[in-house]
Amino acid sequence: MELRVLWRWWREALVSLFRNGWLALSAIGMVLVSLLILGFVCLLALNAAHVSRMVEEGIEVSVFVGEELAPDLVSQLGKELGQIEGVAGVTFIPKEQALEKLREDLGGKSGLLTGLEEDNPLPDAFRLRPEDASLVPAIARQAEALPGVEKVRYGEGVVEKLLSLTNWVRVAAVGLVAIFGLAAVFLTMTTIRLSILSRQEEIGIMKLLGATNWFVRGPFILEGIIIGSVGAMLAASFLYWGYLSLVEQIERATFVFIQPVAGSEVAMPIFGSLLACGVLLGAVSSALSVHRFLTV
Amino acid sequence: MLFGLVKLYNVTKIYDNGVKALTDVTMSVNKGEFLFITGPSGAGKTTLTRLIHREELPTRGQVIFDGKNIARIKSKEMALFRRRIGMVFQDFRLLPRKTVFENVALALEIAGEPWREIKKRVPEVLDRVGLLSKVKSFPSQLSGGEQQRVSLARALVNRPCLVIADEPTGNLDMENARELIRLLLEINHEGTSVLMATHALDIVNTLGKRTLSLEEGRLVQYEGQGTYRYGT
Repeated sequence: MELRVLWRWWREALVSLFRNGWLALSAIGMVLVSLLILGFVCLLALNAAHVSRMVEEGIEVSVFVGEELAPDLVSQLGKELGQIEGVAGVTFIPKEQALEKLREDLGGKSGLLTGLEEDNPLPDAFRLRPEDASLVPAIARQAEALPGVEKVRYGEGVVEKLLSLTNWVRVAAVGLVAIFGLAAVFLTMTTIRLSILSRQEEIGIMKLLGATNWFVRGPFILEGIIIGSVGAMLAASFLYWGYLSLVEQIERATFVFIQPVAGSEVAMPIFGSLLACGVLLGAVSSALSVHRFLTV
Repeated sequence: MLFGLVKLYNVTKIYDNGVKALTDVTMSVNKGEFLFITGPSGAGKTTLTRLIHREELPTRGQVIFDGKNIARIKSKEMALFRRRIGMVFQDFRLLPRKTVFENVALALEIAGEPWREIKKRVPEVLDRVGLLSKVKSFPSQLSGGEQQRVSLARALVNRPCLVIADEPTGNLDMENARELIRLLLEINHEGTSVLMATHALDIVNTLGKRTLSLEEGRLVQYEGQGTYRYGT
């Protein structure tokens, strides 16, 4: 494409944005608001998925060893547990460590445990980390069948409910993003279409003077891209700033045990995807709206 | 010997809604001539100009421009074709959000002229219509007469071989109308063909140019002082 043509597009687009200041500002505002809402929902979905994963990663199977089992058989049992399908890792927790942990958990009331060091009532245990949380019940069943295993615990009942909850959260997140995505597309398109509608006559006159379609279309599309990207950058900046301060608040509040996705991790996705959305939305809505008035 | 720039052969135009605007019209606009089309409102004057500018296609018959049947102009060549005709409308049709300079420059930009050339030619043509002092004004800041002269400047800046003016004086007072006619005569004198559709018979009769008259879509004998010649 000739440089002169591109230069004219830019000049026309910028002059027109400037002269239709209020119209341009309202269009930018509309893009800003709809992408802000969309971005917010995306962040919410991202965190819901993140929390679900963390919760699932926290699910473990505890295997308690029978008291009478000889030490060499205990390590043998550890190996067998590691071979169960779907087990990603096995950690041995000797009874001394378990008692120490209990003491820590009790804190000020740890005096209750005095004297138990000599006659520790807690069993040795293995902790199995599953490859996937949904495999937990199957792993537990197989572990239970092994000789020397006294008891298997994984939060039966609760885990199943938790899994169906996290799955539901994921589906809801995707659904919300889709709905708000569509709403953003619709809002932006309508706004840009209205701003072009008011210039329908201009398009007709240009065509009467012998303008080619691209002569008319080019500046309009560029204008749409500028509106879309300015709105998107503003939305991304607001979101990023808002998210950072929210994360800071959450991290400062010690009672919250859930960690949100780190701010540095969401920066690129927010800016990248919102900018892409803005540019695409602006260009496509302009092109579609102009197209209707081009046949004179 | 006059040579036909535009020729219409048995042109009939029926719009989609069934209105018959022109019936069997045969006429020509010769190179370098000043031709009036007169007739009451609704006689088909505007349809005639729109057919020559190829905003409409004839239902029957042919429109030939400079030896070429304009119905065969491909959409790609359309832009090039329209640059050869300068249009002046009753309602001016200026872009409201562009300055006088930009409105005139637009015609050159569409023609793909370089910016250097545009900066030279726009002031020239604005000077000619007496509006050099208004380059930075917007159409809404101008009087009707001034707006029509901007529109004329836009039509002239591409140095077209034909200027079509459809009721150009319709919205102007006597003085401004006279000034516009003077400018049209001037460019005609320099060799550009002018086709002016009007129902202002006083103008037609004063100038004594060849005149065609339309009534209910048909060419009829013009009864005024202008000279009427059918066809040629």
